[in-house]
Amino acid sequence: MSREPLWRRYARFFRPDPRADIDEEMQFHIDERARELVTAGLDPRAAAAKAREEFGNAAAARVACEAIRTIETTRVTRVRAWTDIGQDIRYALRSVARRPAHAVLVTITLALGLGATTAILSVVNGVLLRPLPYEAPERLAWVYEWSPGGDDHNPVSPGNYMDWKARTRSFVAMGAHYHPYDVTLTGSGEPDRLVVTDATPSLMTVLGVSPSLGRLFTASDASGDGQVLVISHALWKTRFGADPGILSQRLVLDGQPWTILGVMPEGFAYPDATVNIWRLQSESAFKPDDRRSHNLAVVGRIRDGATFAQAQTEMDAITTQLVTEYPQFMKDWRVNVTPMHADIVAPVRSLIVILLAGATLLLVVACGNAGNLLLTRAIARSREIAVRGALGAGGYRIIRQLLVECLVLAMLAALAGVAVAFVALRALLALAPEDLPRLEQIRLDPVVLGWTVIIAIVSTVLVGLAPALRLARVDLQSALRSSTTGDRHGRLRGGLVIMEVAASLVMLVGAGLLVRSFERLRRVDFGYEPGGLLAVSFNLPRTRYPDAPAQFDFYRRLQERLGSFPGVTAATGSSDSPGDTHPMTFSFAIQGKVSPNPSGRFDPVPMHAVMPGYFSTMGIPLLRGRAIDSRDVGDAPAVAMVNQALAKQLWSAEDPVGSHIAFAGPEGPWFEVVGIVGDTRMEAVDAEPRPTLYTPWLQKSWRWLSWQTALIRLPNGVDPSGTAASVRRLVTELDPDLAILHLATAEDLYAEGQARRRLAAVLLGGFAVTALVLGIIGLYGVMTTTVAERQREIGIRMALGAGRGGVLAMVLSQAGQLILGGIAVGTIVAAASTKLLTTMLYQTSPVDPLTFVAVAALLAVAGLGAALLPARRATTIDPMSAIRE
Amino acid sequence: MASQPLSVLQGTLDLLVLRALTWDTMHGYAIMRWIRQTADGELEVEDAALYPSLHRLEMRGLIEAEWGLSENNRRARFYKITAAGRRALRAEHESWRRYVKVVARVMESEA
Repeated sequence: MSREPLWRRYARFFRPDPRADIDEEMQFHIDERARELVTAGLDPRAAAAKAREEFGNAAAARVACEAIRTIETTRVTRVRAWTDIGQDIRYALRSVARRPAHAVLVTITLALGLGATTAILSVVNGVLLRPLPYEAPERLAWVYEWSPGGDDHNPVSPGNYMDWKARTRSFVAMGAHYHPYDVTLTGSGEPDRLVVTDATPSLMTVLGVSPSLGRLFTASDASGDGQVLVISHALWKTRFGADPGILSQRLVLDGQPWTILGVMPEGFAYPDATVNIWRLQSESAFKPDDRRSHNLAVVGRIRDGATFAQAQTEMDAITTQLVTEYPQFMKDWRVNVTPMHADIVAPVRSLIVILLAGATLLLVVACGNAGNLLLTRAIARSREIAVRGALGAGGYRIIRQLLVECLVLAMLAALAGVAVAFVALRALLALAPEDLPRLEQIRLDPVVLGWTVIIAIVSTVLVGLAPALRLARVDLQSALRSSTTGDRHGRLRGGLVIMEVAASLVMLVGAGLLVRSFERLRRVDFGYEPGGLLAVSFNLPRTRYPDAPAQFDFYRRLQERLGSFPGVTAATGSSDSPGDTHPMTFSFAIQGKVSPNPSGRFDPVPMHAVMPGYFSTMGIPLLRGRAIDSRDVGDAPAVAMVNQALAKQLWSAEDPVGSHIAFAGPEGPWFEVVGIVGDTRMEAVDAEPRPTLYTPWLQKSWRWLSWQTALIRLPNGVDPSGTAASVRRLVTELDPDLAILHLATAEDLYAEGQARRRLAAVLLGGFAVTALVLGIIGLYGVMTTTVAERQREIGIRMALGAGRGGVLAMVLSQAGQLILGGIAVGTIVAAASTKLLTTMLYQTSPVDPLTFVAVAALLAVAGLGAALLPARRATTIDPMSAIRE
Repeated sequence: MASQPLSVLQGTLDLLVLRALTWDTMHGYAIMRWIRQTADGELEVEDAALYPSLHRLEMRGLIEAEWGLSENNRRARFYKITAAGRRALRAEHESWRRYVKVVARVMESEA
């Protein structure tokens, strides 16, 4: 085969024409055949015709060839595109590895923001989004009474429950249960504190759950002794070692035997995760005419196709009927139907929104910082990019390359972010109050991790896109000539810093408001001395302490033993524990005073039954009269005490001491008021002191007050934890079957009540401090870069006579402009958004000027401090060498 | 055997082209001549069908094409099998053998 002349090959090079090529190729075929035929003896014209005929449809063949070339070319391009991306990724990895410090900085910065966001998203996902673990949970509702006093979550009376259930058509089923409460498990091993809920058999049908072992209780179980129950999966595993033979065993709860029918499935946590046991509450035990004991929670499942609004309308109508039928009980009562999920999450929705806002702001700050780092790096690389451009890489190709680098960083950041989230989530769960609804649902799951990856990619590409676009438009000539690219990046960088400062300010203001609110709470006067007070709660079973003398005997012995305990200053007891937000309340009549209520009694107030020495041990001042003491026992004249708030409210100018009150009604029996004590914030620190009554524990067996709390005063500075262990031993000595429900210092008990607020403060504070640090680092980085870029200009200024002070002032004023811009934007955003915090704040305005000013000042000082170092470096620039560069 | 020459299936022509090119670098006409001679005229291939086949193989990187001059000094497109082409031929040949065997077994089984 001989070679084609050189020029022809190059002609093709300049004028690619595939169609002509194909034609030429096929024409050659035909001509060769014709030549052969001529050799065989045909005349040239006939040979040409025959060859053409033999060849077949040349035009069709050419179209086919062209089509094949087109199809195959696109296929090949696609394959090559993937190969290119592989190349981009390799190149990106090399570029990342070349500057590991930069990559690590970007990754850590983004990881902090992503980690915080991921942790909070796990909470959002677990608490707000994940459906409740019941069958078709979106059709479950809680039905409450709506009291004339305006409480739309009032528990329901058995009479109303029975009538609602019988008359409703929009609910296919209804069930009811009592509020969970503590019982003591005895018999096998240590006495244990368990939480039970007494539920009607229909409750489980409404929820649509089936047991993982055994069976549920049904209405027919009431025909036996009715003492049947099902236990939680967790209790089955921890207390009974997941013994499959547990069924039909007996549990002794508060001295009563109960038969285990089944084990509920894992994760069944109704109404909350604290409940271990569900006991049969037979509906036949309800009194249909009882409309006074409002103590049932009612659950309903609405009919397929019915809406909550329709259910509400129907229940309204039914309740209106009931009001007409039973006016003496039902006057002004209404009904409230709420979707179960919304009702569960309602108390924490604002907390979660606050945390999500905080995490998002932190992510914004992190993105700003990462953006600046990427921009700085991109500018440093503009020569490299320009060289690539000159070598033929198109703008699209360069942008893609830079974006792939961003994606590689995004993946690294996502990985590191998940690690951060893991740690943050553990801290969050450790801090979270136990009563946070759906706490058990919070975890890092694939859904959340998917979000993390998406957010990582979106945020990294967003912050990486701007530098990439700018670089792709870099003027090749000027970039190759010098390393500076002018002022265009300056504005972008400045914008990022302003954004960071603004976001940090918003978070710092939020955290500052919470801290300020805490400070106010810390200085609240409790009205007693919570420091050094140890509270021990237990439950005295009625079975073994059936009557007043038996109980009194136990209390007396306990108080005596505790009082003589080494290191204990004083000991007493009360029906209520400090920090208990729902103390029992009682209405009462006052002799000689007319109540506005038809019952003749005044509105209910908390009543504490207390042991002798209560007020002195607690440190509650006695204002008038005498305190309850050892005289007030058994058949001695019945007495009571009031606090100042109650005295002011009901006696105003008169002296309550010497007047008489009665709990049963205006007919007595009467209790003589013997003294007035100071007000206390017994329930919660952030609630105003309530009007309160005190009666002697040892005088009357209070049927409704079954919780007891021993209160022990320790001398100042003694660590209560050591005493706690010996108190535990002492109680066991007195009664080995008695479980201690709770043992804590009074301060801890309040802390529990404040856990939600503390969670918000700690997390938001943590986010804010992280944001502040990132923001300061970001500002420092930007100022350093700016000074480096302006080196020449600064050199010229200095050569022209600018002093060091002038240069310092110039750099600082540039930083100051950015900081001020950030503070201005941040203040506006903060003022508009701190309303979110209102429910978390205590006596602190969401636009508290002091907090705003302090945070702005802090940012200004920290920001200028960060700018000082680069500013001083600017003053050391040698004018001559700077100009020569 | 049948008196009528057999017409060639689409994929089979690709196989035959690759086989022809293991012999030597050839232009289209030479490839066709080789196939006809080797088949002793028992295969009916339309000349026009050869070219889509050649271009497809080229685009897939199984053969390479280059313009050159023929024996009588005409511009012609010469094809050469690539390493990928040899690999494809080996694989295709193997499956062709199995195909023939299986079809034969089915066709010749007792009715």
